[in-house]
Amino acid sequence: MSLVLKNLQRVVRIRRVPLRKKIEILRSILGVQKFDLGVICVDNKNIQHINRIYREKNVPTDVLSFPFHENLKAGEIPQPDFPDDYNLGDIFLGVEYIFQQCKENEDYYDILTVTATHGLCHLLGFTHDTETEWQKMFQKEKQVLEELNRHTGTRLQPLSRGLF
Amino acid sequence: MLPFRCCVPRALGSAVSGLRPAAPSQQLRQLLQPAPRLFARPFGLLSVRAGSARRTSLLGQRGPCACGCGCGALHTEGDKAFVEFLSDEIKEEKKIQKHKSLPKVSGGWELEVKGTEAKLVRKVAGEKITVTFNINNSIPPTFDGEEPSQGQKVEEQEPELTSTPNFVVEVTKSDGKKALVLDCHYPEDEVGQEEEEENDIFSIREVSFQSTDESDWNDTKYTLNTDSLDWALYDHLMDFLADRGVDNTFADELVELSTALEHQEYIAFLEDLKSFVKSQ
Repeated sequence: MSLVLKNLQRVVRIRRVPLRKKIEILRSILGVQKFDLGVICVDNKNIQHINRIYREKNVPTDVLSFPFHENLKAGEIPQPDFPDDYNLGDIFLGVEYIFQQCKENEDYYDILTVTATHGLCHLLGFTHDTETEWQKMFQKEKQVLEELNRHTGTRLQPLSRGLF
Repeated sequence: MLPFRCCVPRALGSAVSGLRPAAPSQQLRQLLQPAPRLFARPFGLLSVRAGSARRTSLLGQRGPCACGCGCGALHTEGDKAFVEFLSDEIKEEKKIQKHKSLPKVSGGWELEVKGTEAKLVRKVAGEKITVTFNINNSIPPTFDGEEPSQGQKVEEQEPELTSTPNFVVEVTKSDGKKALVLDCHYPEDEVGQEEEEENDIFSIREVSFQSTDESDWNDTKYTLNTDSLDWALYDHLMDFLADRGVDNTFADELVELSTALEHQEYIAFLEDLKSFVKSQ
C-alpha cells in the first residue's frame, strides 16, 4: 500500500527519495507494508499550531502521530475488516525543529529516520507515559533501528532513549 | 520529543486525493490558459462612487457627444462617469501596488514577459529549464464568507488577491531534441477557507515529452497523468524538479511574481479601458 510524502514547508530542503527509502525500510521491518501511511513535513509554525490544537501545547516539536486505529495495544498490528482501513495514519515531522536540533556530526536524514521510527511506533499503539510503557516503546524502537542499522550500516539510536 | 497519540485519526485517503486531483489531458496552450475561475477583485471604492454618480441622463444619452466637448463621437454622460470611476480605481490600485517593477526570482532565472504570459529561463550545466505561466484567470475564487457587520471597514474583510497560475516546466538537455514537460499546479483551495488541507505547495499533474522542433503541442505523445502514478516515481519527479531549482521556495517566488504581473496588467487594462472610453 501507499506511502505518501508531503512537504508543506520551505524552510528546510527535503529530498523525498532518500526519506522515502528509509521509511520504506522501516515499514518493512515493522511488517506494515500493507498499510497506507502519510508522512507530512512541516515547519515550526505549522507543527506548533497542530501541537496547540491537539495537545494544548503551544510550542514546536519534532513529531506528532495521528493513528488511524485507536486503542491498539502496544505493538499490535491492526486487523482491518475492510480494505480502506489498511491505513496506519499520519506522521507530521517538524522538519525545521528537527533541523535545529540536529548536531553538526549528525546526518539530517538519519535523524529524520529516527524521528519517523518514533512516530511509527506511536501509530502502532506504543506510548511513553509511564516507565513500563516507555520500556516497551524503547525496546521496539531499538529493535527496529538495530535492524535498519544492519541494512544501511548506520548506528542509529532510539529517540526515546533516556526518557525515564 | 513527542509523546503523542491523538483520538482524531486523519485518514490518508483525503490526503491522497488532495495531492492528486484528477486532471484531464490538455494541450500546452490550454495548460497555459487555465479554465476560467470566478473573479472576485474588490471594487470597494468604485461601488461607492458608482452609487453616487449622476444617473438621470445615463439611459437617455444615445446621440453623438452630449458631454459638450463637441467631438461628434458617441460620448455620453455615462462615459464621463465611467472615466471618473476608472480614474479613481486606477489611483487606488496604484496606491496598493506592492511592486513598481516585477520582483526577481532567485536562483539565476531570467524573465521574459509577453503580455500576460511570462517565461523564466535558467541554464544549468548544459540543460535549459523553462518555466512558463499565464496570469489570465489565475486568481482563485475567494471564499464567500459572512458579510461584514455594520461599522466594519470593507478593506479589513478583503483577502489579498494572490495569483496562483498553473505553470509548465520544460527541461531540455544539451542535444536539444526533445523537452521533458511537467505540468504543475497549485492546490485549488479557495482563498480564505480555514479548512486544514495537507496539500503540497505545488504538485505535478502531467508529464510528457515534446519535440523542440514543433511549435505546437503534439497530442499524439504519451502523457503521464500523476493521478494514478506510483508515489515513488512521483517523489523522483519532485526531486528532479528541485534539483533544477523548481522547489517550494521557487513556487512561492513564482506566486509573488505572478501576483505582481497580474496586478500590473490589471492596472494597464484599466488605463486602456479609460483611454478607450475617452477616445473619439
